[in-house]
Amino acid sequence: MLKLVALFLFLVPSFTTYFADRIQGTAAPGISLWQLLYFFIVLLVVRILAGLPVLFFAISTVSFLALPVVFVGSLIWVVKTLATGDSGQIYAQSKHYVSLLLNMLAVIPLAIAFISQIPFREYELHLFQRTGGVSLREKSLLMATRVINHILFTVIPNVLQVWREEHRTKQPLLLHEVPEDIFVERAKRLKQRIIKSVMQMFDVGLASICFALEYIPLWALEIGALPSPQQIEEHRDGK
Amino acid sequence: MANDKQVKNLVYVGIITAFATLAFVGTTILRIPIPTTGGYFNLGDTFVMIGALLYGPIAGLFVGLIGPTVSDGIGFPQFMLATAVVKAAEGLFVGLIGLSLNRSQSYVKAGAALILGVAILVVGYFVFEALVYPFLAKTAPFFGVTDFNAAIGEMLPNAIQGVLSAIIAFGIWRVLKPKTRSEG
Repeated sequence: MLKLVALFLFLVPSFTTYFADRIQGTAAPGISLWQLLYFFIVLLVVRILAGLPVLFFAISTVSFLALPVVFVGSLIWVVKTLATGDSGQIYAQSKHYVSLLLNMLAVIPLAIAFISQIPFREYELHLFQRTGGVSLREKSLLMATRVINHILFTVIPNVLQVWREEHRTKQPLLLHEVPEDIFVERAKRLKQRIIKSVMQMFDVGLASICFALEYIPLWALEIGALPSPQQIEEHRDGK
Repeated sequence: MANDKQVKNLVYVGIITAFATLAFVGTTILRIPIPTTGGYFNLGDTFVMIGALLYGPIAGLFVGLIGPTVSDGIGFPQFMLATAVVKAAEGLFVGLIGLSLNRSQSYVKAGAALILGVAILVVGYFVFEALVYPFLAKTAPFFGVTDFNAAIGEMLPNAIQGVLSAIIAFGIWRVLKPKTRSEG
């Protein structure tokens, strides 16, 4: 519980400008000294409070989530600048995306560490072993935590793994192997590629829903069968 | 032994949690930034729309309220307020039409519900970014991320996001919808 409180306290600065206003200075263009400091503090805190495996998991997850945001965002600005010829904001936007990357690199690992420290399993065991009965609210909470755990740690990794295996990308070509008309060919196939992408998203969405809902009726029966406090009272009274 | 009503309630809680978590994941995994406002394009709406179409307005409301809003907390906290209101309204109204679908299973009604959802998404974000946020920014600089012009610039990406989500949602709804008697 203390770990959760500590991790929550370290999350607070990311939602306020209080500390950023007090620690002035720039570490690099777009990166304030406070941001850089906060990033290193977060890594240290996650390492100490959640452990090395969680830190590694958090770093790989944040790379997966943040890098596309930053690179696609920057690319969109480059395309916009090339299209309009207006390069006025490009420097400010570069700084914005560097800053956003650092922000996500700090907030997401902390959020993952926070979730990893919530004692779902202990709570579940506690409710199953309790002799005084389980209220409907506790049963609902138990159901919700089970479903969240199932989706985040079983459904999504499995669906993504299957998707990767079924849609292996071709080996990248070496420069001398690239045909001259590659861009023309790809432009011609753009419509097909878009339709294919939508179909793939449809597949992933449908599979995720089916796997996510798979065990809910079974769990509802299992959790619903836990005696309520009233049933325990009646049993004790011999009714 | 558990009574039927309690089991049904627990199933309902599980379904809302599942769709909210999927909406969270759908919003978090694929984020394409929109240059004008600093917002981002995502496909979390798919799960809000399907949840609402299949399980009604209350499910839609909670799925829209929880999943995408929590996702905004990671990296884009300034949009949490707009997302909470807009996505909850989207889920609620799509679900209200979806409720009548349980009897008829009409494709037209499902399409109408999804178009309404897209309209709520586009208009809702426009209202927040063009009017509400600039107003709030006068007292809280935290909300000073958009203005009228930026909000207009974000309407097209929001519309594309909504339409793409609705197309995927419609396809999934066709597969998962309860069978009518004529379908066996």
